[in-house]
Amino acid sequence: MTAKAPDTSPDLRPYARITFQKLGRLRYLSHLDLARCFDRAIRRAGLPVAYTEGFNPHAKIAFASALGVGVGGAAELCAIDLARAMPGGEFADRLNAQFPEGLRVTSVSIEWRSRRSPFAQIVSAVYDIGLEVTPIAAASRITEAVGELLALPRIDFIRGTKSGTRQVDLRPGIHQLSAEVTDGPPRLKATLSMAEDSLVKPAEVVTVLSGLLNEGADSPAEIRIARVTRLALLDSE
Amino acid sequence: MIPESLLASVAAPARYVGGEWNAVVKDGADALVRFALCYPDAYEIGMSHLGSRILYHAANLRDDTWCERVFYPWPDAVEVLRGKGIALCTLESGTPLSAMDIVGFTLQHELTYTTILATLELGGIGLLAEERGENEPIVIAGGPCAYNPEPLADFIDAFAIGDGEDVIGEICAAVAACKQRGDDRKTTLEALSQLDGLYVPSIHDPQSAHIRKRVVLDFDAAPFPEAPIVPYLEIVHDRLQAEIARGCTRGCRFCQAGMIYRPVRERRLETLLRQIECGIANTGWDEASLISLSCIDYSRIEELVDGIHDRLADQRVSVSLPSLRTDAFSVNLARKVQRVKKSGLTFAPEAGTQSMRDRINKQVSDEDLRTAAEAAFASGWQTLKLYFMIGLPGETDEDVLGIAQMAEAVAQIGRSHLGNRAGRLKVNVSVACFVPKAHTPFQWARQDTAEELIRKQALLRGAIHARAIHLSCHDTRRSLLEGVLARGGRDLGPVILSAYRAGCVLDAWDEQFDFARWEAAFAGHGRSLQAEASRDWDEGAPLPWRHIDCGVSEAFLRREARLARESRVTPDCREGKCVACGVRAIAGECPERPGCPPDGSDQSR
Repeated sequence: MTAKAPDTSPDLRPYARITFQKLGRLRYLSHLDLARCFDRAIRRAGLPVAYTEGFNPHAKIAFASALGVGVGGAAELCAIDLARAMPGGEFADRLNAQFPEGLRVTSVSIEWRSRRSPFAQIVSAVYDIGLEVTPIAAASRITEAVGELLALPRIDFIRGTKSGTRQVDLRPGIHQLSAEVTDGPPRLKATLSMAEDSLVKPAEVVTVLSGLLNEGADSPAEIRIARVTRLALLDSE
Repeated sequence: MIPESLLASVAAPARYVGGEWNAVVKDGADALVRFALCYPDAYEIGMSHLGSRILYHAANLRDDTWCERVFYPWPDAVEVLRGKGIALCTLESGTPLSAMDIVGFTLQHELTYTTILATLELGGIGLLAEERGENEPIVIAGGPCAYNPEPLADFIDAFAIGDGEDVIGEICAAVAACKQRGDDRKTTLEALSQLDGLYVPSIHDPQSAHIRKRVVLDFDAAPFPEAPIVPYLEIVHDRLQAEIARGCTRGCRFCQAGMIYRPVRERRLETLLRQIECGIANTGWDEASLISLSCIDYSRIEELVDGIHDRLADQRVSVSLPSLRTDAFSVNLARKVQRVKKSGLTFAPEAGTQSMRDRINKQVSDEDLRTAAEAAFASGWQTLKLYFMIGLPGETDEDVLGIAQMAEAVAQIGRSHLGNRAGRLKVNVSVACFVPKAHTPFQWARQDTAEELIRKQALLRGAIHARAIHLSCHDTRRSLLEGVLARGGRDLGPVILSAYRAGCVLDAWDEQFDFARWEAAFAGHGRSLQAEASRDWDEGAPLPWRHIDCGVSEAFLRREARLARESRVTPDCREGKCVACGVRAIAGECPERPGCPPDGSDQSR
């Protein structure tokens, strides 16, 4: 977590590379709400950040990937440009002191960069998906359904888009999937593609799983997502 | 607050998340009085209301009280709550409204009335005050519409009239004492009726009662939140608000705020700079807005704007002036403010001809508007907003067409300044329908019918030709409803209840407003909404709000009504001459004219 030795190149600027959590009720903030939260916490903390030029100046914050409304994040990434370098630990402490419950910086490293984006392309993400299954007895079949899903050579899925619907194959974008069915409500752990051509959303996996679970069943079980948390973002490097 | 398991099923769940920065969380066990401060509209509207923020702060200053917020959920969330049988709860602790000691509403405008009933019902509280049980909360209401409390008297246990900073603490103290003694509901209401400024319909007889409004005379020292709550989602006024002054003596004859908030009181410059600096440090907002009925009239406005800029510009904090006067001074000040951030400019000439502006006592001339527009375009603005009203008492077609002429004149000035950039010019003309309000010189005025208003709107539309002018006219029918509710008596209670039962709620929202349902509710009680809105008023008949003393005397209002008919103006008393409005009977020595006798008899100066 120590800052890299500053390059002498005048193009290099300091920035804070941040890992943070968005959990609890704050998972219901939109991406814009989250960005606003950061902006205001930064001003309250009096951190020496760089502002954009123009009529409506704001702190320069870049998020590696937007989180949807309702989706929590356990290790999200963002970068904040700084007007001057400062110790990462102090940056984290001062920001955390101004964050509402549910939002927390877990690590900060101060680094230097030129204009290039601070993040490599995010290729996949690991999700924890809490499920609600009714009747609860049907939960015991989930592990089996996961096995069936993984054995499928392709998964045709009709995805709603802005301009209508599109058929996609979800299978290449499901990198890993496992079920945890113990005493509590069942959960899935999934590594899903974030790449543009093979992107898969947690809700889509649950829809497919629900179909497999109810195949040939006399009385179909209902599977609902109780909560989703993105555990990690994986990049190409 | 909505249980977390349901947040996924509602739109904009950030409204219901709670736990915002600076929200006050106390130990419920320590608080003798649990107070739910309700704004009967969506979160984004309610959280923008400065008065509620002040009251929240003032009540929470008390160790024995925990004041929490409640907003009306959007209909999709209401459906979810009803479906699950979950009561509306406070945002801070998630306590059902029915478990609170006091449930307070702010009455900002008449079109929130059905939403008050909806809030009570969703919170599990009986709608009719006389039917409420011993264990139900005391339901109180205050704010501008409380100056005519009768339409809501069936539903509200006690109304607080006037400034709330002091009285809210007195209400909490009285309820705390009653609770400790184990007093019953009736005794508690009797205790409240003893407080100055409180009107308790079950105890006071409106025929004989005299309820004088409360005034915070030491405005500078009045409680003001220096750490206001910062919302997660974008609200309507998403910025720090500093109340620089209260009251206005310009004396526009249609304006209720200009009458009921007298006398004018200003906060000291030093107090304001401290409050704004603390407010920004505690919230992280990037904008501070200067709030008063006419913020340019603040006596040290330039010093204030400069002072804020000196302290906060390096944090990229900008200042906004929401109410500009129509003159070059205002424009130059706005230009100064724009050193950090650019936003639009708004002027409110209110009427289209000099004779109508004299009639309503809006002292703006064609020349003033031309000068202001010249200054604005010369300073680089390309968009101006103009506010007007139609349906004013004694209005002729010439007055209506005058609006078009003023807008065209402004557009012409804009074109000549912008030259080859004239394509970017925008003159947004917003035309509201006049609504007569209680405690104004126009409280006896007849309201135009919907047909008349629609004809005038069409007349205006036909008279506007410049491409740069964008005309928007308010919904005439909603203005009629507002007028009937604003001047109604206690007999309106059953009509409001019927309208609510028929599904009327959030009436200020286009997508929710259903005029036909309202008309049917009136018809169900053998009444006609449209006929009542446009009836002639008998100036000799007792007014439904005669027991409420707003400080401005009826004699003054009658004199102003007469001067209006004669198109004669009454100058602002700050320009030198006391207009004997009567407020000194409440305020003691007039802050504007120290040494004046309190009866306003000194007309010589």
